[in-house]
Amino acid sequence: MANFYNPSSLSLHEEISKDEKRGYFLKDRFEQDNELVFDVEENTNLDLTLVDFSSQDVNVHILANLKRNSSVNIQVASLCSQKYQKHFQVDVIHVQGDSLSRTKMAGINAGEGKLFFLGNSTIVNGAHRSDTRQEGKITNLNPLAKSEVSPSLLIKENDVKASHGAAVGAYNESELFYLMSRGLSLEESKKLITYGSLLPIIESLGDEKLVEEAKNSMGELSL
Amino acid sequence: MENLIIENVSCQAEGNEILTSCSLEVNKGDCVALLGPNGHGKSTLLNVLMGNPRYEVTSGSISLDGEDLLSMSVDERSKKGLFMGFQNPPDVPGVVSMDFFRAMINAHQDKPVSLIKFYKETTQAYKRVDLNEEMASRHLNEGYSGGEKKRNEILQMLLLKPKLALLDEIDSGLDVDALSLIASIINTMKEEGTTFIIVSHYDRLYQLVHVNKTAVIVNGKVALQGDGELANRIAKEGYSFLEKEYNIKIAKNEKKANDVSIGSCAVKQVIKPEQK
Repeated sequence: MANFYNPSSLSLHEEISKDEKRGYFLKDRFEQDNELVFDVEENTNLDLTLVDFSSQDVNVHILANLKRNSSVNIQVASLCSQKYQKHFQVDVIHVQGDSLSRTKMAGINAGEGKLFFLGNSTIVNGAHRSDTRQEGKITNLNPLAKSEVSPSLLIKENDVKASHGAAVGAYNESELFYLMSRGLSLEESKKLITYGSLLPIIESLGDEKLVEEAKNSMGELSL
Repeated sequence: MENLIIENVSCQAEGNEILTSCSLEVNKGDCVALLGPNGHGKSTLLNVLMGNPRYEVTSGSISLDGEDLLSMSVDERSKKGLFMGFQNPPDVPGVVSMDFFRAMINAHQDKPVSLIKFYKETTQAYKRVDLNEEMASRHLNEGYSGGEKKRNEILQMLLLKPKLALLDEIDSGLDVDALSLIASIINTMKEEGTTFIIVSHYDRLYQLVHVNKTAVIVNGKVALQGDGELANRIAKEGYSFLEKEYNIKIAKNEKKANDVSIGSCAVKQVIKPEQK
């Protein structure tokens, strides 16, 4: 997997013609506005993971154009603290048929800032048998946090599969009760759920040091 | 655990009173069948015992070995030896089962469990509930079938060795073999000193675990108590004899529709009469 640790800029437009796994870990001082565009060629898979633990405003737009029999798996994990404004938009366009896309965004809004997960999955007319899913979840740790998750589907073909899911809010009470009923304190339970929402995405970078760094950042959160 | 005394407990959830002056005494070694028509308070009583914050206890008291259970947090109750097997265990995405089990065991002891002991105990527990050990690396309850979730609850009970186990419809969704397996685990744990309160709609489990006490909850209170035979009678005759023989009238349970329910893609609103 090609990992890019704290790149200064994310803006690029690339053609993906062979299977590729790529990860970005954003920590600090990179350009605020970034656009990543990928043209995924036929019979090709792109696995893209973006982890944001930066202390700054962020605006990232990811666009993947999928050709026949190609696939893309996009994962975004973000920790938003203080009063930062973070805006992630992931758009996937199924330009041709038999293409597959999975988009998963997970975030923690720990401060008084704004965290937005937006995205459109578009299946164009003629892109038969395409399959898309967009999902996003943000846990607000602060009552003043403002978050929005809006995964949209723009479907112009009948013979396709498309689904989306979104969740925003404080901790899930039934999950907390379940964990506490096994003896874990409220804080331990919140920590497990908080780690659990982001760690699977971070772990997919396959880099122990980055996982530790992320854990340390999350360990400093006031739950 | 020596005894659990529930005295005149009333509770409500979202403004609706569910338990009304509910009383029950459970002693060490009891295996109690908690029965009653749907929606009359069986699961609520178990949730109140475990401390589910959804339910607000408005009056009454509950003591466990003389200690005030209601003043304890949920995790404190667990550390006192209570365990609840959930009717619908929630999925907890991102929390790996193995990590959770270890945290759960460590929460119940002063020193962290050694890796070897933990591995040995979890391996044995997975075998006993007949679940694939590889599920330990999966997220907690996520993607599990109904039967797998129930086995996973029993697995956690085995790992925690509780003094008082509250099992809420633990047999629903289980096939005959799985039911026998879980009954045999309950029987073994009974011999080892665990006390049980079991909610089920089927007499099969009650027969397999030989309940010694039956408590029937009607209209939010324990309306009738008896030995294990009472559970057998209810299985054969239903609840109709309660009114004829004991003058216990069963109120109809009519659930009100929520004013607003949110679907995955749209907001549905119930039209109130005045809006028509």
